[in-house]
Amino acid sequence: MHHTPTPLRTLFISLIAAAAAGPVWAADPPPNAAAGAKTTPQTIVVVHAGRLLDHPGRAPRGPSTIVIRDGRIGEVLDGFIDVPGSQRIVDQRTRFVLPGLIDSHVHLVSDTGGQLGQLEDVQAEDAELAYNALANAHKTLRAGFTTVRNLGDGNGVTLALRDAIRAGKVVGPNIVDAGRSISTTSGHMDAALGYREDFRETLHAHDNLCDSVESCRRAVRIQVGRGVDVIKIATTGGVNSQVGAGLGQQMFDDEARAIVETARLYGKKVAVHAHGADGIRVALRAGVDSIEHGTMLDDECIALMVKAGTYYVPTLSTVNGYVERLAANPGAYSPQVRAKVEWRIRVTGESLRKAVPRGVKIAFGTDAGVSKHGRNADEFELMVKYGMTPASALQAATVIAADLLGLQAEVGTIEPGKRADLVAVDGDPLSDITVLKRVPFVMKDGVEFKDGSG
Amino acid sequence: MRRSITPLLAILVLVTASEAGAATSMALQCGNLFDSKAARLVGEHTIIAGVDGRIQAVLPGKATAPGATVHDLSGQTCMPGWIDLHVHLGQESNPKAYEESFRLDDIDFGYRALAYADRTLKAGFTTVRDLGGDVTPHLRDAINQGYVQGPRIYAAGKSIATTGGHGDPRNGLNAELAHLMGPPGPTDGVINSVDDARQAVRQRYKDGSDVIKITATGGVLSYAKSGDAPQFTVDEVQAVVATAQDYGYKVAAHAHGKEGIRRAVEGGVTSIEHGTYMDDEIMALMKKHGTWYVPTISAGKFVAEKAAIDGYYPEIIRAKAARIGSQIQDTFAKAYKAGVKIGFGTDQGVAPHGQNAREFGYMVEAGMPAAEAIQAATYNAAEVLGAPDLGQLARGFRSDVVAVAGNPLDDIALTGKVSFVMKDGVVYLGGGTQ
Repeated sequence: MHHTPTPLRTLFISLIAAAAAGPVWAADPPPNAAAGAKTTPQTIVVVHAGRLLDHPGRAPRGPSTIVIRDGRIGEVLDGFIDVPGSQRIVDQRTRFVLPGLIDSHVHLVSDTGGQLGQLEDVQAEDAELAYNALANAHKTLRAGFTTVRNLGDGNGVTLALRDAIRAGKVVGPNIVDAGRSISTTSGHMDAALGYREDFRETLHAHDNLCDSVESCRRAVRIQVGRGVDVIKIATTGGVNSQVGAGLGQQMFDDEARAIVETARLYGKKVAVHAHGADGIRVALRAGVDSIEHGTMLDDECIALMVKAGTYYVPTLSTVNGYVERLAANPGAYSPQVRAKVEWRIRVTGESLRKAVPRGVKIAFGTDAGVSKHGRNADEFELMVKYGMTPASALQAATVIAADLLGLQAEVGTIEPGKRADLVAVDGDPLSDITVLKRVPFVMKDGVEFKDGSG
Repeated sequence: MRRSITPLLAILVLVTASEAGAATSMALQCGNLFDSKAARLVGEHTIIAGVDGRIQAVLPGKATAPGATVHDLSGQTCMPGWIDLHVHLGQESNPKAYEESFRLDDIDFGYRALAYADRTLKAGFTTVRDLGGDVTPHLRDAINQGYVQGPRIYAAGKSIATTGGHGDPRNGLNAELAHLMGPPGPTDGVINSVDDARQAVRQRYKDGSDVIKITATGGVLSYAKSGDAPQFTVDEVQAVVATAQDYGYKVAAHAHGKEGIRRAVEGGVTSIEHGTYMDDEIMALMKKHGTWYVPTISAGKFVAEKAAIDGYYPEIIRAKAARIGSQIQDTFAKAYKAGVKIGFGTDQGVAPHGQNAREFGYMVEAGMPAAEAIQAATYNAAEVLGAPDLGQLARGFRSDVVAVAGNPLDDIALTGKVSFVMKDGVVYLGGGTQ
């Protein structure tokens, strides 16, 4: 299952390659797509948008025309313009068009969760999970999310999916992938937790656990070697960890620092799973890029984040996953997890409420996998509930998330040169954020996504 | 695990009290007595239970012995303590049972088994044959040593299967974990040859088993597609049986499908468990070989009922449970009519421990007279076990007695309302001089 690392795996070059390859998953291929490669003229697609939020954070434009050349934004023009040489016009004149959405925290391989998820981890084959991941990628794209950051899976299933999508073999959102997440032994990423003794001894063989400066450096390098785009670590316990060891700090400063320093050698950002304030501070002192969940952010954490420009990814949607799973099956979680789930349901949102007025950079992220794939946009409603305006929530899911993912030159706004990733909705999301839950039109790299394509 | 501590303490206190009571002999003045050999009631009798745990005498009418504590059981029918030939004290069905098998250790199941054993004994089952489970041999030892209370146990330890068969401990694991754990072998109860079969039986001897259990066909509750395909060759069965004989072991064969049953019978096993798809030919073969049939109707009824509930079983198990579960009682009716020898067994652990007596009702419902059903759980079952001092109320037999108020031959449901239980001369339920 391990991938051969090649220089082509680096994000930037891969993106160029994907763009040069053009939209190969078109449901309606342009008329001359079959013509010889060297003489193929530019593919021009025109989108007429009733209203256009080309740059979230600024005011939306009125009727507009987006000219897409070979899957990238060419020009953005006022009014409905006929562009000479265009192969087709995509009519979104009654709709509100905005940049393709970005979810900064997903786990595409599954959304089974709970005790059944624990079973799945030792029962499902990687190939089975690969099909699941593909189906979940489709749901995610269908929901308007054209880019996702996948923060951890088991055996490289999502790395393979990322590459297959970039190569045009299958359809899905553009994926920024963390490979296997890293924690300390018995920490949140310890795959052996909660199993009976003989399984536990066997499952301890994984290489993503580290307990010293040296082993933490090595753990990062192993993931780099697999071709990951970003490093994901846990500095605190997790709600779904099958151990009743709390949600506070579980990594020391020197270990966190070693991870961040090593990641920097390879140009990788570091995303940190953290609930308790003490563990969040460990991460912030080490200079990480984003705090995921951040359930117990306190004033000191917030001040440090503002000062360092650290992003906060709230993952409020996890609560939806917990509530729905428990409603369907009161025994969905083991007792030690159940207690943490109930706590998370009670307190989630408080950190966001504190962070917003202080100016912390908020990036949209759901933790889909805990919540259901395809329901990513439910997060918007919760972000607004806990203190954000619809406009700022939209920024979080576009320009700000693009910055966090290091894709600011590629996605996040509808500007010349960027990928033609667009969604359109009926109604005005700036006044009613819930319209984003029903996305009737999705375009990625200049090609409309339709159910069943790919 | 933590919750089990309180019952454990309670049990220890009870054991102490019961042992104090065993210091004198006892006279059980029974209103009626069941002769398990003749399968009939023989009227008022008194059982003199000696301090050595054995019956000193069975006297007609109301009698006593010098220094004996008298228990007035007038109005009650005394029977030999019942024997359930098929239980699994280390487990019990619940909607999370499958998932628990991945999470919990033997020690967790061991604590639960204490409660199961207690319920089984209080339900009148003074002896059980435990056909599969790593916990039970240890529970047996603790009971025998007086640390905890429960029925007398004949334990199989880990059952013996073939690769991928019913009882292969790697079933259902993904390839990675299965690879990391390595292929299971005879020590884990998985064999694939005559040599493996010999080694597996000898390992059971080393582990302290009292009986050998093989899974001759697929099973309902294993994470595998087939519930009835044959999973042993005849020479593998023969190797198990021949090796078992060296150690004085009988062999019980779990089997649903016809071909698997045939091979087990021809291989020389002592009993066929479940026997779901046996037909006239197989029944004739079993009679010819003197093979016992232990039907476990209770388990069939239980899994068929639970299969109707969404999510109770994984889907791969659900279909088998619905199909096989509903068949067993019909098979039992035919086997009884055909004259196959019947031993009483429930497969409790599938259905809840302590509800063992429901099997009596299912047997009677299928056409067996109540007296023969009780005989199947006493006289017959002792023969299946090869236990010469169990299953009868007569001088020299173990003082294992169960009583119910009224006449269970007229109303078999009375077996579910036990009024008195004695095992090895110790009273665990009811009694008193009034």
